[in-house]
This record gives sequence, structure tokens and C-alpha cells, in this order.
Amino acid sequence: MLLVKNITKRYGSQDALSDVSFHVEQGQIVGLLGENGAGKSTTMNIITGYISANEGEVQIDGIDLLEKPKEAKKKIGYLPEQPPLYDHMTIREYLCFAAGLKGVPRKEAQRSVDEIMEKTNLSERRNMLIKHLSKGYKQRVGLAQALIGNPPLLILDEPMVGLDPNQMIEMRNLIKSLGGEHTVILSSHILSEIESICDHIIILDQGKVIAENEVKKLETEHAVNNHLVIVVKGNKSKISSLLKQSKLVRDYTYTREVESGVHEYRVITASDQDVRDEMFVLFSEAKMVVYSLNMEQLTLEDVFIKLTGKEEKE
Amino acid sequence: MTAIYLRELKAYFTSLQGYLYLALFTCVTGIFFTVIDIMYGINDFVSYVLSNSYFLIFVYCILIPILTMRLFAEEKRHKTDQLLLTAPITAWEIVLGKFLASVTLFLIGLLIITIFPVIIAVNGTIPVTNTISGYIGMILFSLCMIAVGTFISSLAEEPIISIIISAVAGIFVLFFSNLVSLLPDGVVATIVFLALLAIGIAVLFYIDTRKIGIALIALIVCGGLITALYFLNKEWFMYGLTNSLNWISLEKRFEEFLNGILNLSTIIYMLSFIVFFLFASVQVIERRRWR
Repeated sequence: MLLVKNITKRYGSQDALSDVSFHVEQGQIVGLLGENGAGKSTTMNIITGYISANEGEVQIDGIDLLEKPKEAKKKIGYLPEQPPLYDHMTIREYLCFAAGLKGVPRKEAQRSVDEIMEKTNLSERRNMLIKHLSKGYKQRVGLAQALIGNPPLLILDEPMVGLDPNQMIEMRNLIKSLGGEHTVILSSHILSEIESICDHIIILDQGKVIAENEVKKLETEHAVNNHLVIVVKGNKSKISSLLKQSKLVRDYTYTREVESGVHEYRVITASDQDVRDEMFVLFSEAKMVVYSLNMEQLTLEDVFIKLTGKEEKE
Repeated sequence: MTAIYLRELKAYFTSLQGYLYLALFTCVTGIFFTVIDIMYGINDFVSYVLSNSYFLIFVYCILIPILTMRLFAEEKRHKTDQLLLTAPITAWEIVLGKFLASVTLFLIGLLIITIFPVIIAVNGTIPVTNTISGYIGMILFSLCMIAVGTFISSLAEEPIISIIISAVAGIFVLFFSNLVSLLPDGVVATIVFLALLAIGIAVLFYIDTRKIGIALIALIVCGGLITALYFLNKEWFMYGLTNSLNWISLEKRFEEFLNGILNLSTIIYMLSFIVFFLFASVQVIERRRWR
């Protein structure tokens, strides 16, 4: 659906993007992650043809954006970070204007605008001036505009920004419902949102792609085998001394008392191998009941911090 | 293009801008008509009202800049240009849609003030040929100035900047031949003038590319052209500068229409002038993508 090949964008002598490449399959919902200034918006602006890259190419459904910009842009719906709205227009007027811009035939436009307003819950406010709408509604109008013309590829730059928790849930459900029928690329700072909406992640750092994979695979890929979380029933000092004496353990920290007499420890094992079996035997020989013994799971946030090195920087 | 044209036209009337423009245009023309034609009993609307210097300054240094100020500058300020530039339309369609909307509003105003020559015609006689050619001239000259305003708006980041620069451009165009008459003729003056022009071009290249090498190449090429021109046509360097500048003067050509002369070459020149500035606006928009 989308192929981004070796794009580089320079502002003066500064590289905003450097040799960025990725591809997105049809129907995927892809999250573009990165810190401020990582190049997310620049990437989106290049894909949509708002700005041009100094090097590289962008293909949408096999159509080169530079060679056939009109055909390529017909396949894109774009919601920029600040929705491009005209304050003095009503929602309906604005969406009809967007339909005209995208070349939707007039007869079809009315029906299409009504359908999209229904889908984005804007029908009740169709005749309200945009300047009188709340931030959440403005965001929805921006999304409705992106949906006009039924483009197969949707690019949404920070669609959740400035929304209250209820509006966020609505927007999340709306975007989720668009997956499958549309290919969606969205950027956000809210990692939990990305994790819940997207099935694929691209992480940008200082204008470069530093990771690209499915969310689960990314979490597993960057997980470390030697971090275990153990929940054991028994005397706290006995458990601690057992861990201290064991050759399997390099280091450990007591985390919390889960319930009365049941303790949780975070253990770093001596080897990189999975030693859960040996750990279980260790505690069972000491006649202690192991409630759970898991490898530590990384969240997307952990992966993000690990890859962008934010923790070290701070 | 139709969508942009209709939106722009509607935008004039959903804000004060369109009403303010039409009110000022008709009101001020009415005052000039009353003071000149009615009070002095003159039956020539074109030669005495449309040719009046104060009227021209008012129209081209205040009204036309009001008409064109927000065409692009406002889009940039509100970031709505992202909608236009990512839509499946060309930069030409955007520029033409906006230009034609301004032209339409101008023509609506012109149609309203047609009531004044009609009043003269009903109550007496009117020089019909002069009036028609004056109207054609006014339309073409105004289209040229709207094209210049469109170009300035495409460059400006704020509408207020656009209106100020357009006003200065209006004064420059209206008093171009007066400025040219101040220039001394002769080889040295011509070479100094062309050299300053070459430096100006080189500076523009530098501003655009931020590369001193490209600016120097532009300066060398311009210098080469000036030298070649000098050896090919020395006579032109003696007397040709002011003649050439007068030839490109829009205001001189507008005067022809006001005097009842319909010259095909003038019409073609003015149409080319419009196309040039619309083309320049398109280039500004396209260049912005690459910055």
C-alpha cells in the first residue's frame, strides 16, 4: 500500500530525516512513534505531498508521488496535527468543499458527506460554524475531512492530542473501526493508545527509523531472558537468603508483599538462558510454594525508552 | 479549481472583507462622480473619474490590496494550506481559483459603478467608445494588479504584510513612468542601472538558495549578458534604457485605453503580465514544498 524508500529531508545543513525507509501493508494500522523533533510530522508531510523530500521516493499503491502527484494524492486522506479548518464555514459546507477539492462528483458528494458525518458523529452539529466547535469536535471534523473520497490510505498526525478521556475513547474506537477497510498511519505521544490501536509500530529517532515491527514482536524482541518476576509464599528473610546463596541468581530486589506471607521479587539471573525450571526446583526443595514465576514483560513504553535511550539521557 | 473559486468567493461574503471592499469602491467612486461629473456638468466618466490620480491611488493602493491580502497569507497563518496542498489538485488550480474569485468580486464592483455612466447616458450624451475602451483598460489593468497582489500574498506570511507590500507595489506601478523620467540617460547611467539589477538578481538567488556560489554564478551570467548587449547594441546604451522602461510601464499602457485607444499589442502585453505573475505565484507555492 505504501512504500517509503530512502527519504532524506534537509533543512539547511540539518537532516530532519535521514535515509528513512519502510513499507505498510494494506489494511494495517501503523503507529509512528518518536520524541518531539524525531521526524514524525515531516515523514507524514512528505507522504502526503505537502513537502518534498530532498532524496528518496514515496509510492502509494504503486503510484509514485512525484511522478503522478494527482493520482497518488487521491489515495490519501490526511489529518495534520492542527486540523486545517476554515472557521467561518459550517461542518457541512467544509466537508462539501473538501469533497469538491478531492474531485468527488457533486451527486455523490452529498451522500458521501452525510455518511461520513454519521460515521464521525457530526450529523447533529452539521450546520454549526466550525469556530464554535470544541477541540474534540474540530478534531473529528478534521478526521471526517480525511475520510472524504474514501481514500485507502489515512495519515493521522496526533489525532488524540488535546482530547479529554471520553473523546479519546471515541476517537480510538473510530480509528480502530477504520482499520481493514483503510490502511492507517498514525502518530501519537500516548504510547498506551498506540499499543491499543496499532498492530504495527515504526519508531523514529533523530530522523532515522530505529525499529519497525508488530507490537508484540517488538516487545518480545527487546525483552531480556535474565529478568524474572517471582512470587513466593514463605518467610521473607528465608527467601532472601535462598536467593542470595543461589548460583543461579546474580542480583535480586524485593518488590512488594502481594498478600500476607506472599512476596514478590525481581530477579536477574546469572545466565542469559531461561532458568525458570531450575528456580522452581530451588524453591520447592526449600519447601516454599511458588505462586508465579514469569519472565519480565516489556511494555511498548519500555521498548521505546530502551531504543531512544531516553533513560540514559535523563 | 471550482471548489476553491466558490469557497474564496463565499469567504468574501462570510467576512467583512467583501462588503467592505464593495462599500468603499462604490462609495468613493460615487463621491468622485458627484464632485467631478455632476457638480461640473462633465459627461465623460472614464476620462475624469476613472483616470483621476487620486481615484487610481485609492483603488490600486488600498482596495486591490484589501481584495488580495488574505488569498494565501491567511491560509499559511491558519495552516489550511495543508488541506489544499495535499489535495489531488495542482498549484495552478489553487492559484487560478483564488485569482478568479478576486477578479469576480472586482467585476461585481465594476458592474455596480456602471450605474454612473448609465446615469450620464440617460440624462445626456456620453462618449461611448471612450467609455468602453476605458472599461476594458480598467479591467485589464486591475487584473494585472490582482495578479501582482496574488503573487505578493503567496510570498507573505501575514495578510497585513501582504496589504502593505501590495500598496507599495501599487504606488510603484502607478508612478513608474515618473520614476523612469528621473533616471539619467547615457552609457554610464545605463550600465550602473543594469549592474544594480544584476546585483539584485544575485541577492535574490542567494536568499533563495543560501549558496554564495550560485549567487556569484548569477552575477557573472548577468555581467556577461550586459557586456554582450553593450557590444551588440551600443546605441541602446545611449538612449535605450528609459525608452525600454517606458515600454514596460503598465500605467502608460492603461492610459492608452483611457484615451480611447485599443491596441492589440497592449492587450497581449497585459495578458502576458497577468500570466507571468500567476506563474510566479505557482512557483512560490511549489518552491515552498522543497524548503
